[in-house]
Amino acid sequence: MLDLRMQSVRFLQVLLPMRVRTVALGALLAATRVPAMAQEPTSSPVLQAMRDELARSMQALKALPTPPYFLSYDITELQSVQVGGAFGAITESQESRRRHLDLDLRVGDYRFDNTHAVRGGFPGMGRFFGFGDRFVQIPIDDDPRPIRAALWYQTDRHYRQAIEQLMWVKTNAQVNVLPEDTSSDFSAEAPARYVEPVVRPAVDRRVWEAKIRRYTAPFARYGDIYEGSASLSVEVETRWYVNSEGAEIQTSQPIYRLYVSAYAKAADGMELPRYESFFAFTPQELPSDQSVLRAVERMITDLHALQRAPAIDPYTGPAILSGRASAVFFHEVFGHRVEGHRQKSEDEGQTFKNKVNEPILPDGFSVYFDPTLRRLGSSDLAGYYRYDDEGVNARRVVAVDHGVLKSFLMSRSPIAGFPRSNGHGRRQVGFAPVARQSNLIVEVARPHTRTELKFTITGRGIPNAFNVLPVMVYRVFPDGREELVRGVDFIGTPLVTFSRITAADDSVEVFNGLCGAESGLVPVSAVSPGVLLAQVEVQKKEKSDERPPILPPPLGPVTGAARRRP
Amino acid sequence: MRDELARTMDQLHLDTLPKPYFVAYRVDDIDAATVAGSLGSLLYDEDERRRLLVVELRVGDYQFDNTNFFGMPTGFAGMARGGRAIGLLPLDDDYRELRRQLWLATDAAYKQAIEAVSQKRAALQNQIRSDSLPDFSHEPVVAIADTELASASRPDLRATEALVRSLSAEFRGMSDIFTSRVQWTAGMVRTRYVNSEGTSFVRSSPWTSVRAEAATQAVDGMALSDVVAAYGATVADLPSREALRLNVQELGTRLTRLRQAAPADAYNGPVLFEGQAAAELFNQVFAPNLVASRRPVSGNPLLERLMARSGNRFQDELGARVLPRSFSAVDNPTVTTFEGQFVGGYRVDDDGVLARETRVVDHGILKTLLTTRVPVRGMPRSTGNRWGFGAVVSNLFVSVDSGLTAEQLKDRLLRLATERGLAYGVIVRRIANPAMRSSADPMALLSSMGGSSSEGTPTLVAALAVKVYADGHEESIRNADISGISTATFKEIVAASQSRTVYTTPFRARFGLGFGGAGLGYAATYIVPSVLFDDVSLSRPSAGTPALPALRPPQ
Repeated sequence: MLDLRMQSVRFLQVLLPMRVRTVALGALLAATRVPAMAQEPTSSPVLQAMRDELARSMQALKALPTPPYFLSYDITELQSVQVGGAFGAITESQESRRRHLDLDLRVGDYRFDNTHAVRGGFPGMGRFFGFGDRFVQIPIDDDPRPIRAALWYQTDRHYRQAIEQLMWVKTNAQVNVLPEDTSSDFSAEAPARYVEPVVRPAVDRRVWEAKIRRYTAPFARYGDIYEGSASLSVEVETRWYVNSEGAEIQTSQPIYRLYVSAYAKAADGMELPRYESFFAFTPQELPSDQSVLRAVERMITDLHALQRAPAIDPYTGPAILSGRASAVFFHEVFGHRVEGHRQKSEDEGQTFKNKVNEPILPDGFSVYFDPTLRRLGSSDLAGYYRYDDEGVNARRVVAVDHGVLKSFLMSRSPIAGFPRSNGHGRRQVGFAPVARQSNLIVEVARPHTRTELKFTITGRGIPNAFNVLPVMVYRVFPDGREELVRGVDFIGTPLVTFSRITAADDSVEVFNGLCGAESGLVPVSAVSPGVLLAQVEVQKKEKSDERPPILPPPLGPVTGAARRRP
Repeated sequence: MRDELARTMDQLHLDTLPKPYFVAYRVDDIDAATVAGSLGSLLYDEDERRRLLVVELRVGDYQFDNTNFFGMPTGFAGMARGGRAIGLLPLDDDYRELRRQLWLATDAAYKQAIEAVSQKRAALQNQIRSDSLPDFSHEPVVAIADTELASASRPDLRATEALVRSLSAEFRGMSDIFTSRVQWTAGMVRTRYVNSEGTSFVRSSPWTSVRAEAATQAVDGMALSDVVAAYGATVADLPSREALRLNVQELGTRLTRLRQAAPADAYNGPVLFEGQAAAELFNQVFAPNLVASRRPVSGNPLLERLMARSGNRFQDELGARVLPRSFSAVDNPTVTTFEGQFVGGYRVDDDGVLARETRVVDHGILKTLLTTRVPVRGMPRSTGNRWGFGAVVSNLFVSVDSGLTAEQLKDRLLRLATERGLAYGVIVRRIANPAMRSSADPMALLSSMGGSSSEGTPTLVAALAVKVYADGHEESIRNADISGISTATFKEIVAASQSRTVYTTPFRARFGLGFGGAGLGYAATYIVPSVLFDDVSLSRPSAGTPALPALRPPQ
């Protein structure tokens, strides 16, 4: 488990190009032609239908012996455009538009309800209505009638499931000893009301198909690069949320991602991957063709350098993580451990549960989470949002202040000492929200320069050290010289490694990505300067034993000669 | 494809290891669209383009090669698929990039194949085997250029959206139908095939289908659902818009009425399967046994026994009687219409073998199964029925020498019932097709799921059945599980009708290793008479019943 977390330094990256296997035709094309320009944002008929059905359900269910005390409907519309290609040719080009319903119905009361954690046993066992609940489709037309019919049917199913659950968790709570943390099951929150205009994706697929061909064509010059692909993915997430406390929210947020990926093989069969990713909220903020092509050339140079690089030997010693690598490191090792519900669940490590107001980092280090930050320097931040997936106002949370742990990330699931949400209840469509990260930002009071850091280590007379990026790793020699190595795999306990953070440099970098956990994939970002770890442990990664292809590539490398045609 | 194939056959080998003796490339250009709606609104509207490559590579010779072996998986996809590599190709007709992908896929297939063939040799060295079937059959070389237009006109999506909206709106007034959906799919698979024997073909397989599904609960809470569907190659093959509308409407009213009907009582006696129900009987019980699948050899005799047990019983019954003497069954992929109605079909199969008529059952006696180029005992050659991973049924024509009229058949049923001392006989008019059941609503899943199936006798679910009394009057029954019909009981069919029903539905083979799916859009057509069985059991499902919704649906 711990080792896996460490592995997921790459897991997080690999997840970047999420593919939606579907395409919408006419609907989306037509939609893009509609100018999205409502000056005064108006709430959609969808919201009205949800409000009406919610009121009707609450009213009618009140008459039953076990009425719900809370009900929320959340309809998410995902409009997506995907264009992908490899080696100069298009492999996919599609659009889709779908709406899904997430529904939270609770019986009991805020203190103790049907979602109460079950101890010993398998949650969900013996439930008929437990399957098929995810990804309930809602019509993409705004006609209230079919939307309300779907809400009615799903409300009924969730209601029956909830009363069944409540009986079960009550019994379960009686036959087991009291849990350590006796806080409530659900927090009461002030209802938010907010409506913003619905955005439509502004992408001309033909233009992007041409770009993707151009971006990936350079890889085709080389017979020893086995993957050389790029994909553009545009996703507009429009959400309508209502709950029985009176919240009503309509938000609409586009995301543009460009992802370039390539791999080569070393002579010993080791796969050598290399990625580049770009993230923005508007198409204008995506990089120019020139800078993408520069990145592609850099990837090719790196891949060839990696092929020639020696494989790593097992090593224990100091390392410098570059800004992006540090950002990912903080996200994985620290961020996940301050997600509130992990302090309550008895299946979790609860690493920081009793560390509030205690130092956990050098005193120059502060870490905060700020979902209200849309942009930092020249980068858009993927973890930006106004309301979380439980309808709670997004806000800045100081997790570590000058080395001292101050707070956890909270959803509406309270823990001892933290009775309220701080706007971090998040989920992917079809999952129940839990506390998740937003924009993680590491700030350091007294940064060093990069060169200072380098000589901090080597000055101690240790023969070499590492500067670790997920895929580009350099050995640093006492004289400051750097050598590229390949096949690096972290081992050991990440927390121990975390406690070895000693200093940071002054080059702050942003990592944008999708983070996967129990409530699905959510966009996050992490911002950090490069940090010096007093000690890390690495080993050579497992490699594939497959030989490189037997025959040479069919047409050989392009050398400017005329291409053969079929 | 030809260029890379030539290079592969000429040059590909590893050190001292053998070259491939057979290589085939199949590229499927898939262009598909789906429009779904509910209660007059669209749910989604999507299309998809993919280009799929399948490389089939064999090392050794026709008698003994790397396939038909179930060894330890090496690398990815090494299992049982035997020297086949599958990948996605670019959508652009970029010669250079296409060849590059073929090169990499071929390389992967070759490495798997040489490893598999040596594993197989090693495993069989320690065994004495009674059978020595060849691994691959010789078949004539064919070259077929597609006759159909390459750019078959794409369906008009606007018109389709309007159709889906209006068909799904039929359920708007039906407050007793809890969930409903209409889905239209259409597409074209354009296949290009070349192999190292010189066979090549280009084939267009278009399909269009509309299906409507609805689910509800009976007044006592029992789950009820049904699906109606229409298939064709193009829109022109489908019933008229008005006929579709009536079908959908009828589905809704039928379910609404069934809510009030009495649930099935335990019944043991004669049952007449009419129309769709007869076709589903053949589809679900009889036809899966008509396709041959080679049982792979393995280093582990125990495993091999286990696999043989899950296999197809007809495979060892050539020459046995499997239907009454008056029955014959013919598979014929080359037919495209029957009595003016659409029937699927193809000219050449996925092995590049010409489609042809195959007499499967002759006057009750099993003559052959439908095969691919992988021989099975007693069937050394392909019948031209390869589609996707294995053999499929294409158009199955079941004929009887002396069919009865509808009246005579009903009389016969009543007579049999009387002989048994029963007050009524049972006619089943629709059987739920588990392959068509919706995954969107658990209630629909529950209602189409039969009870436990004992070996070889699946439990079928009657979607529409009636009791018929001596005076001719009928009473609906709902939630009836049908049991007691197995492949073996088909030879005890008592009587059959003169007229035949044409019914098209997705085909699901019962492959030895559980790999199913003949590919996108593939459906089989059954042309079958209504059939009367003497001894069938009906019962209501024994599982608990979910409560009815607490609220009425919104108006």
